[in-house]
Amino acid sequence: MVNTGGQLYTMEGIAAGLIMLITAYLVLGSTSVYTPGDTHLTDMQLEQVGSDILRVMNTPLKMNNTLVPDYLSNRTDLELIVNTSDSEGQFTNTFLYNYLYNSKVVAKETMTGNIGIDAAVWYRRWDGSLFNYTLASSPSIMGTYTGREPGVRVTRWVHITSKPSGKALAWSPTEWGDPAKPNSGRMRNEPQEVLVEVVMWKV
Amino acid sequence: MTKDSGQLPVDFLVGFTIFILSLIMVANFVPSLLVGLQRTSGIDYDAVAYRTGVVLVEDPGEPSGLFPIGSPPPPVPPSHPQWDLQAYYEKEFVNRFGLTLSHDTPNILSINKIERFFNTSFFNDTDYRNKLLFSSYQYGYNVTLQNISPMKAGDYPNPLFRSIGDPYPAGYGYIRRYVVIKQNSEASLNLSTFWMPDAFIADRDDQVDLHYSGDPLAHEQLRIRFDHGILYNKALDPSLMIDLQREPISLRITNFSSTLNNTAFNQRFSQGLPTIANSSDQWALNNPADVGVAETKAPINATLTAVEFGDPTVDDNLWTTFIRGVNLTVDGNHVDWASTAPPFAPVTVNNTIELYVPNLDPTFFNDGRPMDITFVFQDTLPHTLVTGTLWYDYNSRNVTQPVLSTGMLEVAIW
Repeated sequence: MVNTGGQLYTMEGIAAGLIMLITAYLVLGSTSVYTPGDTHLTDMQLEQVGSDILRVMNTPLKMNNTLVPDYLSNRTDLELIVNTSDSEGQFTNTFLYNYLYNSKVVAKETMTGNIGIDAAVWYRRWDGSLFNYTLASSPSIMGTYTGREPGVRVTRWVHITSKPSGKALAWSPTEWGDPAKPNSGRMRNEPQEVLVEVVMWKV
Repeated sequence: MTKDSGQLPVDFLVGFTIFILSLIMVANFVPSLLVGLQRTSGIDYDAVAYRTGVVLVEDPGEPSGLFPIGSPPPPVPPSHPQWDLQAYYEKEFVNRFGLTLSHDTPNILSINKIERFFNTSFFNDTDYRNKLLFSSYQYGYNVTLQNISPMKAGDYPNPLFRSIGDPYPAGYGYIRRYVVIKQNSEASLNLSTFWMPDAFIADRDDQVDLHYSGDPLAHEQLRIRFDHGILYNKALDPSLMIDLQREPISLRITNFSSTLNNTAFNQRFSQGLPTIANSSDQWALNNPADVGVAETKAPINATLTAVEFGDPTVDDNLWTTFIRGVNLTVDGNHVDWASTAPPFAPVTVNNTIELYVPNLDPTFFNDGRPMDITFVFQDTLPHTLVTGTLWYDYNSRNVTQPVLSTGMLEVAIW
């Protein structure tokens, strides 16, 4: 009589158990658990490399002091590049090909793979407002930074003695006749610190 | 009821079977559940690689060279010199490796520390583990340093490639650091073409040369002058200073033969001399009227009788004749240098003198005074043509300035 009822529940239980086990097996087996620590690690390595490159590029390699006879010959690579606001290719070449890809020993794939860079120079104009111009962008085969790629940002303050030359900082024709903004199109032509900011991402 | 009682063992059997089957399946799952975490060990390797890179690239090591570059030495000198200046028998006093010039110069490495660190006949595997990796776990390691820009101007390709440890295995933790490598200064005097306007002036910047005040025409001594006020001028960037308290002095005097057996008296060393007020200093061989003796020809032989170290403003009886690690080579032959006076017997010079001093004790520069290295030649007629004072300073005509090159350090741990 009611004895058969118990048999039915047992079968359902077995079926349900098996379904749950198989589901769990499929779910857990199909995804590899990528812990946040792993991504931070590669980001950290990339950030360290970028930060080091900017530091080395901005280290004077010769004396720059009036106490030294040939002191005028010295400026850092980064200062020279920033001093010409048209020097996109130069920065990209130095940053990527002179440093980043320049490894003769075995290195990790994440380091030798294609890495895109975007670089900008931030400065303050005469009225204190903050502006920037593009210093470098990656070769077009690497695409542009959309903001969705995992990227890192490294910065470096650079001292320059005067306004850089180049078309990026040239007068804008529309600003010529505006008496309210006498120098709005340009960087101040005086010694100042500018911020070089580089965004690096894996293509 | 008795008919139902037999079902209990069957229910139990079914339940237990399901439980066992589930347990077996779960036990099978567990390893694959951790697949995603297998990089745990890799994270550890990366962390150790990062740590090792920081120790090497952002720290001067321990003992560290006592004080910031350019600052006065402490009243009580440290009991052991900085680690790269220690002799082999002292290497137990090296506590930690680190390659920067000082605490204030991250990423700027000393070539002397680099060469000592990568010298595997000096340090062994145990040293690298105890003074760099700091772990009881037997990590595998590889540290490789190479230059990017040439090590000498105009010299390319010019490989600096230093490596310790084993070849890279399949999986490893890794960090790459970019660095600047500072090399040493050196002074080279080619006596056949030699004339350096700033070098052979006895009184520079109106400083009174007390040591020679009674003997202004001394022509048996060639001096190399190190002035603390010039070398460690506070206006200079410390990382670019010629820091002789940490770096070696290399002096090389070549073509000595051009000054020997020379019958043309009053001959100058070179053409195209600039106008110098005190013209008597320009003459290699002094006018007999000045000297009071007839020196009309150069000697056939020159004899180096001593090399002395000391403050030119005090009596040279107080000068030192021995510095640890000093190495003198005359005409390519090593001259044994004893710690007792006189350190070596007079030696005939035909062509070259090379002197290497590993570093100068900070006490040489006490109170910011100058220091001279003096090469003393025979004090008999005829005197040598070699005389004057070479200033070891930031003038590239006098001294080959330190070259700074960029490079890359890679650390792998597994």
